[in-house]
Amino acid sequence: MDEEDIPKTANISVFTPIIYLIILLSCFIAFSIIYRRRTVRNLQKIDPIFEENYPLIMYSILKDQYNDPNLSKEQKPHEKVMKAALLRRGVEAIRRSLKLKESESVYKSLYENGLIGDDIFKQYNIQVKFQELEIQEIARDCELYKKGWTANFFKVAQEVCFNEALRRRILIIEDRAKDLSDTWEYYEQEVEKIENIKKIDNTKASGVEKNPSA
Amino acid sequence: MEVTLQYNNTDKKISTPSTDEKLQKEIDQLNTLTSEIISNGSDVPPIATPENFNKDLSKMIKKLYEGGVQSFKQNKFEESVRQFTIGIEMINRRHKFEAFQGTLQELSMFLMSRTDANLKTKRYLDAFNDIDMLLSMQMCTPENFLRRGVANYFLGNYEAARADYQRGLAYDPNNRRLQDELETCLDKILEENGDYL
Amino acid sequence: MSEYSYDEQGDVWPYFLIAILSVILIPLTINYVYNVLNYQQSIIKINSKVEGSIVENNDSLDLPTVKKTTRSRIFNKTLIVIIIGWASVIYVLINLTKSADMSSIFDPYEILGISSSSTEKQIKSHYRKLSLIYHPDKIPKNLSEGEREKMEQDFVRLNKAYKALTDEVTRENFLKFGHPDGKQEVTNGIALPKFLVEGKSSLIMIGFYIVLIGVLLPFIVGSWWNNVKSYTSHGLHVKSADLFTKFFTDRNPGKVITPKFLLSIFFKTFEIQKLNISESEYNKILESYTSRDFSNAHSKTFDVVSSLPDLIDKFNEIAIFFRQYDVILVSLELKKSIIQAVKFTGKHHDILQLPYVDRATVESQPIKRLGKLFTLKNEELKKVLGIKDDAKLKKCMEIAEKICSLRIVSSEFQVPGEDIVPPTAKSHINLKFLVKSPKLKSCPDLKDEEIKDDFNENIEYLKDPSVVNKSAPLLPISYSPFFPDDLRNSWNGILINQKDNKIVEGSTIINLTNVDLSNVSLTQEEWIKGKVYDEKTKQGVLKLNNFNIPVTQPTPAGPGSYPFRLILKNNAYFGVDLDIPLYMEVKNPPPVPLNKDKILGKNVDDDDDSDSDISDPDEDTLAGALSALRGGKVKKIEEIKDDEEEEEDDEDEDVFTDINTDTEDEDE
Repeated sequence: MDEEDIPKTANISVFTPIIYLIILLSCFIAFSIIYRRRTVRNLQKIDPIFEENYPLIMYSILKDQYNDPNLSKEQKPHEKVMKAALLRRGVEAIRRSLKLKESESVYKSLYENGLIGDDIFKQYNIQVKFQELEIQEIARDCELYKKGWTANFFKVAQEVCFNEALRRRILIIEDRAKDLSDTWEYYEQEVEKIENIKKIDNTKASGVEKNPSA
Repeated sequence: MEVTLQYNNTDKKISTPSTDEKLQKEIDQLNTLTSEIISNGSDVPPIATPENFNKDLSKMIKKLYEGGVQSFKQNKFEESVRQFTIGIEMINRRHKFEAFQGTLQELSMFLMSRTDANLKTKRYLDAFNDIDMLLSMQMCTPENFLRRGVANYFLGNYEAARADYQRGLAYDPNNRRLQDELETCLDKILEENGDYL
Repeated sequence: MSEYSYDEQGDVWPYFLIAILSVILIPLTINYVYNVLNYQQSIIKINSKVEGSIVENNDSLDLPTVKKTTRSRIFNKTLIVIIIGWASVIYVLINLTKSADMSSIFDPYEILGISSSSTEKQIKSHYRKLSLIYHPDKIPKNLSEGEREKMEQDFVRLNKAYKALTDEVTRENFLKFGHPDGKQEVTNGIALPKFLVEGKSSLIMIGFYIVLIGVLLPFIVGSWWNNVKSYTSHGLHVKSADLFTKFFTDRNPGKVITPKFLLSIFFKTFEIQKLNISESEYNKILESYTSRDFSNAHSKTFDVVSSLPDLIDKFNEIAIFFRQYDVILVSLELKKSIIQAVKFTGKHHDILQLPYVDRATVESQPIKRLGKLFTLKNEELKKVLGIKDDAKLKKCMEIAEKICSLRIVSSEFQVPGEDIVPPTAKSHINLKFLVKSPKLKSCPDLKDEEIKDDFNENIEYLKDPSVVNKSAPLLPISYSPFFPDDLRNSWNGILINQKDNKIVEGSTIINLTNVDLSNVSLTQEEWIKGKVYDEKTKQGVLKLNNFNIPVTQPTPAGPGSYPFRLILKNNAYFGVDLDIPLYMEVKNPPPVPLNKDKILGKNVDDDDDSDSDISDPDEDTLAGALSALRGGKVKKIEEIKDDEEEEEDDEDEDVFTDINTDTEDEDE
C-alpha cells in the first residue's frame, strides 16, 4: 500500500514547502516585531522612578534660546544664566545618581524576593544608564561655556547639591510644625490652658511643673 | 509637558506663566544661583575652600550667635529665639557653592541653641522641630537626644522621650543627665498608667 | 500504521465527560466546603477556646459595623454549579456507561477456564478434557452450520490459549505483546462520535480545534501569566509595588510622615483605585468609619476598610528593605486605627479603642492610658468614658482588662550552646515576659533561678532556637467589633541598630504569634506574690513566655557593647506596644575551656540587662536635672561645638550620605 501512495505525494508542487516556510517565517517575524513594539510601549508606559526633571527641561529651553540666531543679544540668556542653569542640571543629575546608588542593593533584593515587578526593575536599570549618559552630556556642555570647566564642575555641583538640600530642610520647618501639631493634636494655647489648671490642681507632680520654673 | 520660560535681560532672571508650584520653585532656585554667580564675579563658581567661605557673613553670623547667647544668659529667651532665627536666615543667604561643611556647622549651632531657647519659652513643638531636623541630619550627640527627649517629654510624648534618652545612652552610657531624665520620664510613664514599681 | 477508531457506539465518551467534569468539580467542591466550614469558625467559636481572649464581636456587644456585601456563604452560585455538575456526573454514571466490551482482550486462563495459578500439569489435563468436547472431530453432526463454525472458532481459541501457556514461541508472543499471534494493531480511540470528525461537520471540527489550540489556549495561558506577572510574590499588584518603591527611593526626608500622608499614598494604589472612588469619597469613608458612624455608610466602606490593613502590611514588607523604620511605625499605628475604628490623630487612642466610649468626652479629659482607668471609681469612670449605662460600662471595663501588655523580665542576646556572645556568631534575642493586664499594678519580684532556662540542654533548641516560640498557644482573633474581617492578634516588630538608627540589615518583620494569655485573669495578690509556673512540679501561677528572635547579621567581629532597640507593636490594640533597648555584649570566648559551673556563675554577673534600668528604681533621682540642663545650657553648646569639630572627620560621611537622600521639595 505504501508503494502506491508515492506517486500521489510527488504531485505536490515544489513551492508547497517554500510557501509553508514563508508563512511560518513571516509569522515569526510578525510576532517578534509586535512583541518588541509592545515591550517598548510598555516600558514607556511605566512611570519613571523620578518625577519631571525640571532643571534639565529648563536648561534645554534656555540653550535653544541661547543658540537661536534669530534672537537679538538682549533676548538671549546671559552666559552666566546658562552656567547657572547647567549647574542646576548637574545638581539634579548628582542627586539622582546618589539616590540610585543608595538603593541599588535594595532594588536587587526586592526583585530577587519577588516583591517588585519586572517593569520597575528594568526601569531602574534604564534610569541608571540614563544617569550615566546625562552626566556625560553635562560634561560635554561644560566645555561650551568655559574650556576645562569639567574638572571642577562636578565638585561645585556637589557642594551646591548639599547646600540646596540643607536649605530645603530649613524652608520646610514651618510645614513640619503644622503636620506635627495636627498629628499630636498639640496646639500651644490649649496646652497652656491645661497646664495652668493642672498647676492649680496638682502641685506635687514631678517633671512638668517643677522644672521649667526652676 | 510644555514649559515656557521668559528671560528678562535687565535682572537676568527667568520667569514662567505656569502656575506649577514645583516648576516655580526650580526657577527660584535657578535665579538665586544666577545672581550668586554674578555677584561672585568670577568666570565660573569656584570650588569651595575654607578660604573662600564668606568671611564677612561669618563675622555677622558669629555676632548674632553671641547676641543670642547673651540674651539667653540674661533670661531674655524670646529675644534669644529671635536672634537665632535671624542668624539662620543669614546662613541661608550664603552662596550655594560655598563649603557645605561650614554652613552645616553654623546651622547646627544655631538650631541647637534655638532649641534650648524654645524649650525655655515653652514652645516645645518648635523646639522638637529644630532638634529633630538636626538629628535627622545625623548630628547624633547624646546632648541632642537629651534635647529631643525633653521636648518630647513636655509635648506629652513620654514613650518617645524615653526612646530618645535611651538612644542617647547608647552613645554615652554614663551620661548622668540622660540617666536622670530617663528616670523622671519612666516615673511619669508609670504615673500616667496609674502604675507603680 | 495506526488507525483512529471513533466512538460510534458511544461507550467511551461518557468516561471522557466524567473525567472533565471531575477536574472542574472536585476543586470547586473542596473550596466551597472549606469556605462554609471557615465561616462557622467565627471569632466567638475560636476565642472561647483560648484562655484569656476577648470573646466579643459586634453582635454580642450590640455595636454597628460595616455591612458586608450580603452574599450568603452557603447558598450562592457556586452551590448551583456544584449541584448541577454532580447531578450530571451521576446521571452519566448510571445511564450512559455500558459495561465495556472487553472481548478483544486475550486472557488464556479465562478461555481455558482455569485459575492463573494453575501448574503446567493442571493446564495440560484441563486442556485435554476441553478438547474432547470442542475438537472438530468430536462435534455432533446434527449441529447447524453456524453452530459448527462457532464451535470451531472456540477450539481455535482454546488451542491458542493452550499454546500461549505451554508453547515457547507463542508464550513469548503473549508475554511481549499480550497476544499469542504477536504484535497487534494499535488503535487510537477518539472519544467523539464519527459524524463529528469525518462528515460534513469535519470543517467545523477543524475550526473548533484551531480556535481551541490556536486562540483559546494561548489566550488563557497568556492571561494567566499576565495575571501572575501583575502581582508580586506577596500578592500586591505590581503597580502598587512600583508606587511604594518609588516613594521610598525618592522620599523627602524632611517631610513628616503622618497617617494622613500615608493614606494619601494608599489611595493611589491599584487596590484602592479599582474601587472607583474619588479621593474625597475615600477620605469621607475613612472619616465616618473612624468616627464609628455607620448611619449612612458609603457602599464601598467595606472594601476600603478591609483592604487597608493588608496594604499596610505589604507596604511595610517593602519598607523594611529600605530599612526606614519611622514609616513602619506610623503605618503600624495607622493599621490599629483602622482595625479599631479610632481616629488617626491625637493621643487618646488607648481609651478610644474601647466600646461605647464617647469620643468628645474622652478627649476633653487628661487620662490617656488603660491602667489609669482601673484606679478610678465607677462614677469617675462614667465621666471619663462618657458611658451612662452601668451594664455597658461593665462590659467596657471587662474588655479593657483583657487588653494586656507584655512585661519583660529578661531580654538578652544569646548564641545557642554558648554562655557568652562570641564574635561573628549567629545570635538571637531571647525575650522572657509575663502577660500583664492593665488592672494589675507593679511587678512581681522574680528570682534569677525562676527565670533561668535550660534551653542549652535541649537538642531541638540548639538546632533551631525558634522552637521555643511555638510552646505557647496561638494568640486569639483580635477583638475588633467594627472591623469587618477577623484577624489573628500578633505583635509585629523590628530590630533597630541604635548607632545608624536603621533596621538591622536583612531583617524581616518580626512576628510574635504565640503567647499564653491565661495570666490576664490573675488577681493583684496572685500577680505580686506569684511564683513562676514550673513544668515539672506544676507549681506556680505566673506563666513565663519565651520568644526568640533570630538576628540576621552575625555578631560583630570585635568585642564590645553594641546597642540595639527592639520595637514590638500589637497589630490591633493600642497601648500594649513594647519598645526596649538591648545591648549585645560581644566577648571573646575564654582561651581554655573552663569549669562549667564557673562559666555559668560568670554569665549571671555579665547579664547586665538594660531592662534593669527599668526595674531598679534609682533613688538618687535628681530633681534638679532639668534645671541643670537649662542652667548649663550656654556653656554646653560650646562644648558640643568643640566636640563636633573634633569628630568632624568621623561625621563627614554620615552627614553627606544623609543629605544626599534629600529630595525635591516639601510638597508631595
